[in-house]
Amino acid sequence: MNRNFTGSLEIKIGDWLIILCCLLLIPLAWVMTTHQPGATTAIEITADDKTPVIYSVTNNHSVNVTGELGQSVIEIRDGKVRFSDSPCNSKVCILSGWHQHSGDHIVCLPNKVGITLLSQNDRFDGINF
Amino acid sequence: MSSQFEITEEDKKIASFAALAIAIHVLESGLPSPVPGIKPGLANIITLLVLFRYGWRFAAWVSLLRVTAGSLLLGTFMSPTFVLSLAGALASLLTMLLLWTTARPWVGLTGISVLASVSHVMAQLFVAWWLFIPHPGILVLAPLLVTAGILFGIFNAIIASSIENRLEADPE
Repeated sequence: MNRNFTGSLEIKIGDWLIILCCLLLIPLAWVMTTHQPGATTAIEITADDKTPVIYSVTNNHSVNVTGELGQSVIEIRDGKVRFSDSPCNSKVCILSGWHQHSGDHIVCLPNKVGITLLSQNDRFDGINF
Repeated sequence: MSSQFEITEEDKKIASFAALAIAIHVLESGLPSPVPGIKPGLANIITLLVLFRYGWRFAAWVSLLRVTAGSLLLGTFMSPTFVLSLAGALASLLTMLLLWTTARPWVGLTGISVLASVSHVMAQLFVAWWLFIPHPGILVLAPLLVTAGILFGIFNAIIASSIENRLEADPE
């Protein structure tokens, strides 16, 4: 009885081709979903499934938004964004700190508040393939 | 007593393979996962074996029975989990069908397993984005899921081929 585990795992040319194509898909997916050149010029805040609102980041200010649990405070300073106060228990949103790269997302799941960092060079809202 | 439906040998085989796949599916759902959506998909080993031994019709039956009965057992029938599971299964079945009917001479277990697994995660991601979390942020998971898909695709192919070897050597 043949006890060889991988001995007859036949790898044909097509297999290599498929593995190669799938490996190429990783950086492609990476670039398409995360790489958005340019500095953050605006942020889009979505709270509690309501219509997203876009705010500028060129001047320093704070935004209060009401989510499912209560009021979250979003601080905008020097082109960077963070949650500075939140009614959620875990405070993961606050602890994640300042964000400045366009294409980044900051979310507070318990309070249903999401922030997307936008830049002028955003060509796509989202990419699917 | 005569039954209205004839139960063929084929039906019995499908049922027993599906039962095996369901058992693996249920056991696997108990394994913890670092990222939601990443799991080995060990039940697909059965689908692969069935595909290679009996053809794609057989594999489609086994896979769809597994998704349906598995979700009934786990209590996720008709829930988002079930929809995602079904979408993944349909996508990987479609991939298997395409490869099996068009590229059989050039592709072995590994290629089919990897491509089926990658199309499984991509379909799930797309359906999750389309139906449940319509936020572009979820697409950031794509590279991670594709990586896991390739690794587990290869992993499953190795297991499937070793089972296949033993079946060849010792058919019972």
